[in-house]
Amino acid sequence: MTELRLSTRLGHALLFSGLAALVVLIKLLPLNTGPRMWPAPDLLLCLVLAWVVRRPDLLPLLLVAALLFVADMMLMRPPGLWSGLVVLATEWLRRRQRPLRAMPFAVECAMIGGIIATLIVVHWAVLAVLFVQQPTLGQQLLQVPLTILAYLPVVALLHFGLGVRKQPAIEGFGAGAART
Amino acid sequence: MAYNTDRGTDHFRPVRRVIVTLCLMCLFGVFFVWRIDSPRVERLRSDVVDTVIPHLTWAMAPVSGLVKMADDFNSYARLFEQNQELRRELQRMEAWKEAALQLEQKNARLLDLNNVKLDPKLTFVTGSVLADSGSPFRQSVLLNVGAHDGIRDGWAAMDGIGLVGRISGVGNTTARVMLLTDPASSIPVTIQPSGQQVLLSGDNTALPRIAFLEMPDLVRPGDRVVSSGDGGIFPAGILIGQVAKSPDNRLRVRLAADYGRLEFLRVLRYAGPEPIAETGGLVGASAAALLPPAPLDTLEEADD
Repeated sequence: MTELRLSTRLGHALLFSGLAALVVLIKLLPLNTGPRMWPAPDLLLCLVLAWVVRRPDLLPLLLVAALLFVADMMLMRPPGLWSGLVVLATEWLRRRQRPLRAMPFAVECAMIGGIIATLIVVHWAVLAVLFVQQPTLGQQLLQVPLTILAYLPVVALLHFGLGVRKQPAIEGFGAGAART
Repeated sequence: MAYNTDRGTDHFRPVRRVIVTLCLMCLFGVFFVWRIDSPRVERLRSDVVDTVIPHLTWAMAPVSGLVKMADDFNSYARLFEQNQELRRELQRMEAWKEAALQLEQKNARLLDLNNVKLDPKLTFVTGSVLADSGSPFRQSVLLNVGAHDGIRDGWAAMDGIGLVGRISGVGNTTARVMLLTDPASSIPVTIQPSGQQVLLSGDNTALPRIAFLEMPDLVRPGDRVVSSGDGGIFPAGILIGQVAKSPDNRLRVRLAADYGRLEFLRVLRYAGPEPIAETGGLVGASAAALLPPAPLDTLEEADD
């Protein structure tokens, strides 16, 4: 049982694509077309990060890249930059999946917050270097606490609703053991 | 045994690294191409939106309809107050209607006296709003009319009352309207009684800023703001809103259009002012033809 069954993989890939498409659609709904006081949390980012922390083996890289790129296109962001940065973040998390399994949830939240803030700062810095018009860094960083708040329900949905859970941490020493 | 799932990919690690690198190069490559040759990639973007969004309206329309119904249902709670409010408003409107009718008749008489021809070129195409920008920092909406309906970049879009924004990005069946509140929006306007020409630039708040105001003393909150037609982007004289003063003592514009709920927008067909290609008929060589016939001897002198 070293390989997951193909049907499980396909099913989860479809599930992830469906959720991502739903999030983008909800964002695109013309419910309130005026400017808002608070920027909305980035639910798509929450979804990707929460999933990759839990089951990186069920989230193919190319699927994430493609979905994020389409989202970039639809949501009027500079195409490619944000999706590239998020792909980098998921790769970083994939490398650390063994310590992540043993990590308490509070620490995980703090780490996710750090990642989101880093992503936003790097995104801002690249756009600033290339003289692309963009909102101020403060306005963008306002999204971080809101996105972390949205991270909790997303994790709850994945954990309880869809059964995307962390696998048990590997005890002891050896090739598969947690290197903390 | 279930632990082994993450080790299963070990054999593919070098291959995987290559795939990650290629993927990142593609994504960042597209970004740099966008930065260098923005119009081409933006056209690709509007093509993507154009193919995706119209196919999704069947999914989006019921959801937004439901949410709007829920909003309306909430308002049932204050049905009685609303009813009274509406009655009062109706009474006031009756008075206005009377005034408007009288003015209309007067206006018609005066126009008749003056032989004025109203500009017949200013027709409009109406489109309904499919989607908004989806990003907290961009203010734009997507309409269901596009190049197929003759929409062109730069045309003005308004709701029933005031200017809403301008077309920026046209697909075959969709067009994006950049709202006046978008940080990238900046249009020339006139503040009315004083006639000052200023720029109205959005900054992601509900009230766009007034920039390049020469004499702030002449402008009061409540003054009308209309488009000035400078630069040939918009037809002149479209209502935009009223001047308002923000708490930090800056002059801003309270927009006349209802930005909370944009459902149908009119896109004004406007070809811009006609360019003046040659010198006027009163000056230069062609003016000679208009002059009364000159005495014969003068003409002969000119021939020599």
